[in-house]
Order: sequence, then C-alpha cells, then structure tokens
Amino acid sequence: MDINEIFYHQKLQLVTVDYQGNIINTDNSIFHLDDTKNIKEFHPIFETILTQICEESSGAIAIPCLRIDNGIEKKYCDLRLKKETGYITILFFNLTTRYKEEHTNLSINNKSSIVENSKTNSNHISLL
Amino acid sequence: MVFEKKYRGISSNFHREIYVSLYLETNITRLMPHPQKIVILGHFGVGKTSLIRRFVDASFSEDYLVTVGVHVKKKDIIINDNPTTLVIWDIEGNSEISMSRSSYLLGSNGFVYVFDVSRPETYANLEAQLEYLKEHFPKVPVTIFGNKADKFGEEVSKAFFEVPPFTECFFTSAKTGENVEEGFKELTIKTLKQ
Repeated sequence: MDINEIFYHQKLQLVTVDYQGNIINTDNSIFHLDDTKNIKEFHPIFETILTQICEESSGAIAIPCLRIDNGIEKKYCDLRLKKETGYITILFFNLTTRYKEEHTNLSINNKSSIVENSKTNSNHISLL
Repeated sequence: MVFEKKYRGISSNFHREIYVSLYLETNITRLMPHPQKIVILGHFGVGKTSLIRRFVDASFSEDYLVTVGVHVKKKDIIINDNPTTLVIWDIEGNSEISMSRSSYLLGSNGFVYVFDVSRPETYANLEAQLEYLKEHFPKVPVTIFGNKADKFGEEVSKAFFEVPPFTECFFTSAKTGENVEEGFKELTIKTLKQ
C-alpha cells in the first residue's frame, strides 16, 4: 500500500444507498457499517437529508463538519451526497484532527468573549 | 367503510392488490409525517446544546462545551395522538444567521432562535435576525426561546422582556427544564401545519 492509498484509506469512505437509505455497498474504511442495514440507523442526519437530496435540483448536497458519535469515539467528517439513477452515493471525509484543533481555539475565543462582554454589561449597569 | 366498499367493487385480484397497496401507502404517509428538520440558531453560549440535551436526553450540565460544525439528534414525540420525529440540528453559534453555513439551513422545516436573557448582546439584533429568516425562509416557522430564565429575579428583570419583540418568546431554562418541551411542541405543531 503506497502513501496515497494509506491516506485515502483512513480519510475517505464511500457508501452507496438506495433512495430509502438501504445500504447497497460500503468500504468500511472509517465506520464499520457491515451490520447496518439502513444508513438512517447509523446517523439521524440521514432521516431528512435523503428526502432533501431527492428534491434538490442539483442532486448534490455538501455538509461540512458533521459530528459523528458512535458511542466509542467522536469523529468530525465532511459529508458529500450525490443522487444517481437509482441510488445515492455518500462520501465521508474524516477531518477529526483539523476540526478538534478548531474546537479548542473556538472554545478559548468564545469563553474570553463572554467574559469580556459581561464586564462591559456590568460597567453599563453601574453607570446607570 | 369507504375502503371496504371500493375494495369489493373491484373485480380482479390484481387490481385489488394495487388498490390495497396504494391505500396503505397514502394512509401510512398521513399517519407518519416525514421527519421534521429543526435547526437551532443563536449566538454562541446561549445554551442551544443544553436545550437539546434537556429536550432529547432529559439531562443538563453546567460545563460549557463549544459546538463546532453541526451535531444532529433525533427525538420522537407525539402531537395530538400522532407520532412525529424531529431531527434537530445543533449548529455552531453565530452572532448573525447570515454567517452560518448555508447547507445547514437548507431544507429546514422549523427554526428555534435562542438568546440568553442575561446577555444583552445575544438579543440586541433579534428583530434583524427574525427579519432575515422571514426574507430567506418565508415558509419556515420560527419559535423564539429566551433561555436561562432561571436567572430571572437574581440578575435579570423579567419585566424588561414584556414588550415586543419578546412577547412571543418562550422563556426557557435548560437547567430546570422550564418551558423547553412546550416550546419544541409548539414549533412542531407549526411545522406540521405547513
């Protein structure tokens, strides 16, 4: 297995489902879906998004940064869906490392912003 | 009765089978509406995730865990004896809805706009945000939650919120559970009427 194969094997998963969400094919490289009959059992996002893609004129939807929690670990993936004749292709891009870094930075920024604003508010009240 | 009368009126077994399958398909769809996609909007730190946790898992934690991207949860509820599924999108907080990723909002059946009653910056632009939703999603119902209502009395005066645009709000507390279920149920009723 060369470096590209290793990279894509761990980062990318292709799943094909019918319009009702029944799994036709999957490569299991990120998530093990062998025992899952319908993709809706795997994640609730598919409860509405499969109907949505069938109504979407472009026949394609991209959802960035979806948190997927399978009870053992949390992963952050970008999701791409494309409607084909008789089936839908679903691509998972595993970007957990990148989004976890973003999570840490955002956490620090938000907390300091809340503290900063509460100082402004209390100053405002004391001036009144 | 109507079903039986029509069924008996069909002579061939083949056409009877088609009639039965079409009847079931129509009525099952009527009994089980499509899952409703609900997106929770509002500034960061207003308690969007906590409200969902309270509503879906009946739990609460004081820890602030920032949401990155989107976290989706599902909840089955019963409205007027009819079962319905809500698919709730907990998206990262933004001071303006226009800053949210557009793909998160597409295909929504309902919005919850959440602000924090103890942080004025989270409701200062409420009217503008509601106007944005009216303009871009005119058919999608919106319910407003003024969250952290457990702080009324100690830090915040409830009387301040007794004027528009707050009169339509549900004053909720993810901490105590106050009004959380009621707010989600009202939005679900609105979405099912669409």
